Amino acid sequence: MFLKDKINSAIDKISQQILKYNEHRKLFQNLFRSVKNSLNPSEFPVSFGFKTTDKSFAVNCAETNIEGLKIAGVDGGIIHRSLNFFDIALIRAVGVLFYYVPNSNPIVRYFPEENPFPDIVTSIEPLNQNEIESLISIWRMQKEIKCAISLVKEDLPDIIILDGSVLPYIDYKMINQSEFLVHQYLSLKTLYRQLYSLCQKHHTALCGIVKDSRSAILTEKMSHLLPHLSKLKEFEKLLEIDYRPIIRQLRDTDLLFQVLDQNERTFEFYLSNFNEKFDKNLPDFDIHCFYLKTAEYDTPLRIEFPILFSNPQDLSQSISALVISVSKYNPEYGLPSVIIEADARARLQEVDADILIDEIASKVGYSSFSLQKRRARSPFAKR
Amino acid sequence: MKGKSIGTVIVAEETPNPSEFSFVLTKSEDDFRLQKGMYVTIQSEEGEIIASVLNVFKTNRYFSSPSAVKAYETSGKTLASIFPVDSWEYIIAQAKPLGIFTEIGIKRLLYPVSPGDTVYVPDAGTLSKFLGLDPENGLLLGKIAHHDLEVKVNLTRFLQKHAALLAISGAGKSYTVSIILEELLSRSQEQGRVAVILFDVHGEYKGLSDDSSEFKDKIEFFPGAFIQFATHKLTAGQFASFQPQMSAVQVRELYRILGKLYVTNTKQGKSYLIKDIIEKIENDENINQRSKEALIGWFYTLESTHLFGQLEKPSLEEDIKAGKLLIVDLSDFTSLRKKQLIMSYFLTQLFDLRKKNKIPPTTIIVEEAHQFAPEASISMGLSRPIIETIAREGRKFFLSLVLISQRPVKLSTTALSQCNTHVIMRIVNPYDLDFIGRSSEGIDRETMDSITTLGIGEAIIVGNAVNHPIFVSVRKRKTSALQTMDLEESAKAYDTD
Repeated sequence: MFLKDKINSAIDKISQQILKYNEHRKLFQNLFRSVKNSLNPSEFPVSFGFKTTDKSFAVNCAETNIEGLKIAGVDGGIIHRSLNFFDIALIRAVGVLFYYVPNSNPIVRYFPEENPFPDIVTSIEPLNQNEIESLISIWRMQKEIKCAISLVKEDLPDIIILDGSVLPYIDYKMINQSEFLVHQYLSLKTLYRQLYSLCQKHHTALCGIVKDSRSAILTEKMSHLLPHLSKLKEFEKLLEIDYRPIIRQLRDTDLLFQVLDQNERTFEFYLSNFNEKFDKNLPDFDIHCFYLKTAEYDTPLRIEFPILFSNPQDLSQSISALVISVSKYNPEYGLPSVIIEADARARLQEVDADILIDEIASKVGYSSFSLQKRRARSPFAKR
Repeated sequence: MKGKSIGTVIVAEETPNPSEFSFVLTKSEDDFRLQKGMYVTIQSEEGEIIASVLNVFKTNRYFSSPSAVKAYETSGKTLASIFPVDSWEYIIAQAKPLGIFTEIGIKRLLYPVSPGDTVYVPDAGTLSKFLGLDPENGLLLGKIAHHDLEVKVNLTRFLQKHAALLAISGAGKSYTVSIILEELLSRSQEQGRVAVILFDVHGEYKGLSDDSSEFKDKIEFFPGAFIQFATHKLTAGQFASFQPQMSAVQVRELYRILGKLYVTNTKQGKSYLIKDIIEKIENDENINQRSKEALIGWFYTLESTHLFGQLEKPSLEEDIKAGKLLIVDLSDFTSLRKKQLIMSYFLTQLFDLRKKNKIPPTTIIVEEAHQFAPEASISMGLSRPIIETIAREGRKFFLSLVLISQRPVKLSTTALSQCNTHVIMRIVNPYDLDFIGRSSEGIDRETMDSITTLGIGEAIIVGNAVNHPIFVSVRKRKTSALQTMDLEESAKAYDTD
């Protein structure tokens, strides 16, 4: 077989897979769309993992008047380089607060400032690749949460939106071999607790927005539940086919893109509690989650939030209303304006790391080339 | 000495390099308005690198994607009401290094400035020296656009190797000429004064000698009706230049005739007229009949101009004086040929007198120069040979030309190429622009592109008078307005009469 034939064959195969996937997705989308108002998640058996008080699969959320409100967003930027002897990272986090005053453009404040100089952090710990990646994530989250804490302390926003999860998603098993990493992780958790407590004290809503979620928690739970929903007419057809492998392919946002209408969210559901086994005596927080469609032609946002005050249902509605109000402008890109601005401010350029490494190299007497690992300095790679 | 800092050099597409760099404005627009054509400076070990701003543009990440702008603004809100767009606006300038101003002079920049270098506004003294201006004794033509710096061009550098003033009609040529005249007439004996003669084709400059003018005692206005050539001062060659069809044999015969008249009249203290020459030709038995008829015919034609008499009026030897301006009014003449005759006669006499040092160093200002020295055949421009001669040789005798034209492409290439300084005002004709590009020394593409966008009273000076092309806002005149009327005024005046 010639190379061209091989390529064509591979392309055909991929195309077929996509078409088939689309077909399956469509099937489930149509199905859930047709039953979204008749399903009552609060009645789902607890054994299937749904903890919710919402009585409908899809809940309509009205936008709210944000005049007089302070809406904040926090994002971080990181550039990491693994060198021969150590790891180095440039990290910064920027908090943005939009204060919506009547009949005027929002007043904008930045934390700690508009263009903060990034922290330069290094580690000479003997860590493996997974541990290094975990460490870099911990450093970035530490920076972001510290920024969020200072923002809440200084300006008391009505809501603070984190770019990403509201939980420190680190696989503890991945880091528990390194005392250094465990210490860093515990420090991070302490910072999160501080932030939660602070928001609780000041009645500031807190949420994390995962813009490109690959989670399948909802579809997975629904797949287990489907056989028990066969009394619904719409599901009869589904039971005739082996739907389980199909639903396993689906991510939550794939399913929900066509199921939810604009300004509609899924029922909120319990995701996890904050504490782990070793946190027994520390204050704990329940974390809930829902998906919210803020733009007609964009996939829904995954929104996670700790229950700091009020109740999950009301908090979901309040957070949804605020998020919609600052995300509704672009039908193809439904991300909150505060997160767009924070992301732009926090983003770091690769060239910043290059300059840093060049400077270090000039001081230690190595060429920056020899300082870097082989994979980064192939003599034939385009630079 | 550097002035205030305004920006920082950045890395952009293949810049900085020795011939270009970009910088971001670090001041807010309210603090400093960066404009195209400004000069900036960067400190280097060798001295100050002076550069001119070729272009200024703004960037803003929120407005860089048309589809995103449209998508957001379709919501009925402006991007400015959704995002802090103002804080993302950056002003970037592209600049061209002109040279390094060192203690020993100006050097070419052969290496790039460094990213991160601070960009300053040059102080007036440095800029003046760098551009080759003469703040002590120069002619004040205006101010450098965007800088508080007077453009004082050195007299010698500006005029000794001739100058040309090129612009479309209405761009402010005559206004600029009157500025040059004011400056020349204001000079003191210690500064060095030249005599000036101006051929006023449209009668625009009469106002300069009004009673209210502070220069009235230094200006003599000579009406066209009284212009007269001293016939006896003209040689056979000069007569031949009036009649380019004259053959070499005919010129030789005329030379002989004029020789006789010199003996019988000039040498005896008597002048003669055209009719005396005609009579001498008629009575001469040695000229063949065909030449005789041709010569007589041509002299009758010359006599019909009524320009030839016994005395020269105005008398150049008497009326050309240092620090004085003689305006020769040609506005009454409709015949171009007649105007060319006058130009040819007086310029020939001026050249002769300067060679003999009988008049002071003189500047000749020729309005509508393309009419007097056209690139077309000599028969179309009787005065072209003498203008070209002065353009080539006048420098040695301190006889300078200032050629003014709105159609440089129609102006003698020889004459224009000898004008080492060009004052260029707004020009839009592509042929003229192309011609200027080819004939102006030191004019670059960016400067050329700016010519079409110049406003009234704005000029670019290139060539010998300055080290680099400069943009000038021509200063206000001291004298009263030129004698021009707009269409409406003219129509009213005619109706009232």
